[in-house]
Amino acid sequence: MTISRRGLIRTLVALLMAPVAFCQQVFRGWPWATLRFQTTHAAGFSPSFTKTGALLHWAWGDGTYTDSNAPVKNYGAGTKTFWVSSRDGFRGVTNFNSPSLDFVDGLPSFAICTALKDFRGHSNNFSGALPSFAACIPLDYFRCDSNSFNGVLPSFAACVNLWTFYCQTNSFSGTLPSFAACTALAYFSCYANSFSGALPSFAACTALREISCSGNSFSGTLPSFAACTALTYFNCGGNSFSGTLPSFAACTALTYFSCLNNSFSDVVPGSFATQKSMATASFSANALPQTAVDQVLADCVVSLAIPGRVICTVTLTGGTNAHPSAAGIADGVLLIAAGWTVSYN
Amino acid sequence: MELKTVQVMLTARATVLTAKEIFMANATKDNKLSWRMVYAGKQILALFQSNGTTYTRNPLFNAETKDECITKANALGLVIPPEVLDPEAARGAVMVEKP
Repeated sequence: MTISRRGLIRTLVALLMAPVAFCQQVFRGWPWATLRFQTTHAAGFSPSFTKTGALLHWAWGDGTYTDSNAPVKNYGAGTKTFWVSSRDGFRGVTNFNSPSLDFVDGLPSFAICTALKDFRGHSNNFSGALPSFAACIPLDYFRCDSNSFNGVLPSFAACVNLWTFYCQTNSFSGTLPSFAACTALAYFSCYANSFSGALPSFAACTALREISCSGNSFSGTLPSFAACTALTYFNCGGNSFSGTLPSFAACTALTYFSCLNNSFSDVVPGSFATQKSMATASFSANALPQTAVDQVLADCVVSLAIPGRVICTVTLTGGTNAHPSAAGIADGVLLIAAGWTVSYN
Repeated sequence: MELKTVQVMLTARATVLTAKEIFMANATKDNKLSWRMVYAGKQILALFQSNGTTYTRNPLFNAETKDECITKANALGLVIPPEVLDPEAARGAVMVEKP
């Protein structure tokens, strides 16, 4: 039997690495897993980790050291570095709650925090790529919004308990990964990023209450939200969606609907006849022909018959939306008489 | 910005309201892009930027900028709900806790 030189080298490397792999298994997370943060926060500073089990240890750039979970530091101006270490590999950490603490630079990987349920690192100045949270299976609340993250958003498909996900106001780009596995998802926002391509289906997220994907570059047709019957807030404005707007007739709990600044060219009859509490319905700056403009107004008139129907602001202006026909104008008059605000070209 | 009042006649088409009712509605004077604020009592019902014509039976304020609308709202002592001021920003402003 002959062994090639490459095969021999590969075998030798494997033999040499085996003890390392063994030690990694035995001493996984030990000693001293560490997360590194940088901040420009000048005032009293207390990032918060909630954990069970071993203490967290804090080491600061000025050489001080503490075992307190929420140390308050006041360094003054400038960028400060600190390290959070854990003797048990962060396996007891369930919450990270540190919004608005002027964190800069990259977010360290939380992959070692396999018990993490709640992550609130929003309203900082984190930049670079968002690390994967795929190992954080219990994660149900995630906020990284209002930072400067960029690149592709990693998949959260493993976080099947996810309930709230906010990544808005960053610089994420590329396609939005699917959240279909996150069937408990109720609140989702990715507005004001640079996502492109098709918006993935949220049909499996039947508990979805709010979704905003506005201010991106999504294109193609909008997927159906008919299965999301708990939906109260929907905003897909400021994208490049086209084709027929899918029916929202099953979304009877809608209070806010906006598809403005897209290129929708038709609506499904009856889509907006079933919502009792919808107070805002914006179709501005699309490409709706007269039949579609008339249909929206007719649907709204039908909804007036729902007991307790709240007054609503309907906008059908701008873009290449057509002027309503005489019948559409008559429906608009009915709505205005009922206290609604109606705008059209 | 100047507004106009339009006389609107409901015809026999009305199925929800009484037919042959005549009422006055406020409307924006022209089709120019502008900010429109609709309010009732002390509550702002809508604040949005639009072109085209806006019709409403409620008081309507029309301005070139959103700030002008907010200044007017403050002068009138109107309540400005965050949802009306910026619906998107309001998403993250209120921490929704899991039940």
